[in-house]
Amino acid sequence: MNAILDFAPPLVFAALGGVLSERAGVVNIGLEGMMRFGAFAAAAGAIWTGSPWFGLLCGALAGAAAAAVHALLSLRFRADQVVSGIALNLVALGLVTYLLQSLFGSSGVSPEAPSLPRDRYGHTALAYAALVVPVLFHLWLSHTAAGLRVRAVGEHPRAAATLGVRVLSLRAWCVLGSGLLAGLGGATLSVGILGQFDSRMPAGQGFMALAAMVFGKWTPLGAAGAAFFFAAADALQRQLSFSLHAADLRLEGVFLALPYALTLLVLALGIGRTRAPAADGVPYEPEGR
Amino acid sequence: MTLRTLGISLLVLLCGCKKTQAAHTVGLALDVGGRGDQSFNDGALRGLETMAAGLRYTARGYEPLPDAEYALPGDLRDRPFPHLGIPQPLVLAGKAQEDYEPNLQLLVDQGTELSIAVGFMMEPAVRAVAARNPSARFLLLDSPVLDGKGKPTVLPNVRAVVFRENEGSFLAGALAAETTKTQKIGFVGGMQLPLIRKFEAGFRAGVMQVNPKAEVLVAYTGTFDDEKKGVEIGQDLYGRGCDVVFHAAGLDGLGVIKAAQQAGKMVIGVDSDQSHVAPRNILTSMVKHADVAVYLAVKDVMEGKFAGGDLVLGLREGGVGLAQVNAALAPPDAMADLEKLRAALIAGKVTAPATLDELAKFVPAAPAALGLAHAVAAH
Amino acid sequence: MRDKLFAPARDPLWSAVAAVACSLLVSFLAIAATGRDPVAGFGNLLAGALGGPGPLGETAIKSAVLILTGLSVAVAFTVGLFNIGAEGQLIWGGLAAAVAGRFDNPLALPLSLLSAALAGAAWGVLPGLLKVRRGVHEVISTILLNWIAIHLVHGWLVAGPLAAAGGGASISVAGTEPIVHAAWLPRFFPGSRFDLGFPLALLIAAGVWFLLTRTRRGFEWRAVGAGPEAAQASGIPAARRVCEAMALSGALAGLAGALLILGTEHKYPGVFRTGYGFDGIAVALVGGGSAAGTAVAGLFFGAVRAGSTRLQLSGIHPSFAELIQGIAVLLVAAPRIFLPLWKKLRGGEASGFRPQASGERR
Repeated sequence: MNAILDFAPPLVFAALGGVLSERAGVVNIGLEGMMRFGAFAAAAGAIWTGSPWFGLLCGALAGAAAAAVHALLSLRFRADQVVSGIALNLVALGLVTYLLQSLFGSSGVSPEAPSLPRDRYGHTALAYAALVVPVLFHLWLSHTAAGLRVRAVGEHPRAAATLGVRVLSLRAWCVLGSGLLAGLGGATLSVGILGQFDSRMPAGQGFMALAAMVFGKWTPLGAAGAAFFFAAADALQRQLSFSLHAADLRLEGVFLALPYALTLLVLALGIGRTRAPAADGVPYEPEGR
Repeated sequence: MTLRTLGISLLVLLCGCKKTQAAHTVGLALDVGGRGDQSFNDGALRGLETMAAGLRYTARGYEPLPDAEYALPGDLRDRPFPHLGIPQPLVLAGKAQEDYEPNLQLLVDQGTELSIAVGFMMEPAVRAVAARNPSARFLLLDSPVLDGKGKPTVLPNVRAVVFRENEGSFLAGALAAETTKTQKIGFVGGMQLPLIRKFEAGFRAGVMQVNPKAEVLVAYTGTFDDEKKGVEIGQDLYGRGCDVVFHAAGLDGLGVIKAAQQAGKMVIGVDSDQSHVAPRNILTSMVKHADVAVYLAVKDVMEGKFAGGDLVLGLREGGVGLAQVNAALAPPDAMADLEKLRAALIAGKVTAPATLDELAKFVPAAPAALGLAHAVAAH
Repeated sequence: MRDKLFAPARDPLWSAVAAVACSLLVSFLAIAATGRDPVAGFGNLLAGALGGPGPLGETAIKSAVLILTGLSVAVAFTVGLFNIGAEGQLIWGGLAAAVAGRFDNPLALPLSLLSAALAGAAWGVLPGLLKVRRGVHEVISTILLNWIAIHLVHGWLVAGPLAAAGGGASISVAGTEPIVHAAWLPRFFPGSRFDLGFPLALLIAAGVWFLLTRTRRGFEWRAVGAGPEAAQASGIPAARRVCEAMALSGALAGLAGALLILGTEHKYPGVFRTGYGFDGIAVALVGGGSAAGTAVAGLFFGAVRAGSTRLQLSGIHPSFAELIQGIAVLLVAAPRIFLPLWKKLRGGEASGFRPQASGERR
């Protein structure tokens, strides 16, 4: 239980980021890269100022900055959204390694960064935020006028435009918000869980966040639930491998693969076919250009 | 613009290609763990940069290391390692498996007198490059040279160093067994490699020797470079009642140390003395002296005494061992017991198993025969 | 939408070239910004990629693998699928080659290649089936299948049932037993690792080009990629075609793994991290999804990779190659950045290049 609350938050935040962007109609495969920028900037910010909270802010802003590139390319320059997201991931991979090397002289880990304080149960504030934020996000998306506009832009942009919604700028804001959340997820990894940046971060978490988003059918509560489910499956796998003394059977790899296989199975058994927002990934050209 | 760049680059290329290096240049090629892994790669770099060359590496490059700051960790403090006065070493990073061979060839092409290959993953590359450049000299850490059929062999220009990690791990296990109050001890490995199994087998045997009732929980993270996995497994182990955990998991191990800090429990470091990472939680570290192996090889090259062949470094040779034990954490009579066990291992009265098969056949020596104060009798 | 993935590069080939050139320029400035000598750096990069038989061999090795993983991604693109799973397919291909290469016979090399292709195809067809039968998004399934492959192969098969016997206590041999000599990819030049892999990759690229542009099957694949419903309506079994293309995609990635095992490693190593599967995405994107473009892009990135070994002499970390690659994709992604330039060059007419589709659904 403890483990789930500790290790799910990065995935929860990033998955929510994915939901925000895609509900507004912009595919975001760049979550992994945004998390990576967020994790690095958070560690660097915390090291330089000595404050993990400032680091957290840096991480979220760095994620948003990366998302700004995605927004610029895919909305302003009408690049394909998938391509732009992949490009972002590749840039993050190279640039962050390069920065780690040139700023800290290490290709393995950053120096120790101050990490967020923990309460007496051993959780950081982010663990609780990961429980609250999805609910707030859900309320916002389903029950406010702003949320309605976001959904409209993701389903029927042209109709929304005739009602006076500025489609492109709203989409851009959602992509920025998505980056903010993904960056926060990355920051949770570095200044929340580890108090350090390591060179492989986020090690596929951004892609798993995408999986959580699809698994959760593009809804905030569903995506967060899926993220918690992934963390639980991971924890379960470890318990299982302890109890069966898998080490002596040399079956550890099979156990490590189990959560992923389980997820795939659940998806394949089709807990209902998933449907993306109708205009997800479809570029929008305003009329009269 | 780019065309001009290209032109200039070509020009530079033509002029600068055959650069002759100063005498005694030493090159070192890292494996994918890279600089900053706080363990094996950093150990080798310490031997070359800090000890042999007297330099400090920063993000801007090398700086001379002031004598006042020349401090060696833990158990090396009492041994003299004067700087050898070599010029700036050439250190290359490897991004992928197939980069190792061109990296080593590049070191040879740059005229290094000794090329150091860090890690068993470099073995095929060392074999190929050493065969192609018989006049160049190599130091291969952590693996023997193998022939085409995968059997150990010897090349005249390669010194291959392997460590008896099982012996050092045995002592680590004994110390953990003496220290534990919950009778539950954890072991975290990285990937399931024979090398890591060696740590595991030795460690579990050490626990058995001192305290057969103690339970060892074993887990592997499946990687060497995902710190978060280390935290997760560490938390699990401490949550299940372990109060001492030994890690042999590279970067993941730093995560295990983090988990120990969060839980306020004890952890045993690996490869280098890791006490500076978490002074209050590190019980000791099972050190593998890659640093000393590198330093001695450089020294031999400079003195004209370098010879190829295998070198097996165990407790007797001072190649493995325990770093400074944290006296605030260990029971008072532990040190005396460790000393007796160390002597017994060196004398061959006790053999530390190196594989799980050997571990299955391992029978602890009678505690009385070794004169252990703390041993818990079997049954 | 997928059919338009390559609209930018398909039309003006030079936009990809411009992107690559710009990425080199940006990285040139990046080196200067961190206080290193960029001219010397690029000199080293060039020398490391092209300066003699040794470096050329390294370029060839890396290019061959990148071309194959790039083709793998590009083939999946033609039927409208986004194969992020080349990494997992590559791992299975490599393992199959390492296992088949253990049996000594005159046909060891072709048999190893064949097993690698089959293993990769088997792993590749899975996401195809999941997509057409169960509606599982291929991006998700391929990511999950990558992790499953990594853990099953590295954490279990290579560590357990297929591990080399090793020898004695002090010797720790990781990985599988070495393959027989007959299964090695032959090398042609002394002092160079240039092997059969590179010509093979070019040959395969030509084959893929022929298949995609000159055969009925290739046409049908593209039709499915352009719109599965329309294709189905005109009598093409869309689901079947998707699975076929994914099988080929997997086979190509599997062959890439085989080149690494049969060409350089000669066994399945205990630690085998490549990242080539993901790089294949970049190669395919910059190459505009065509076989020829992918081959050229693979060659370019292979050269940058190989050159980055020597780049370290200028104090620059080899991850620099990834930076160049990322920036190039970023610039390829945004053809409109180049649009004004293009118009100017062509005297105001933006021929052959149309803004991408408007808001209608595909």
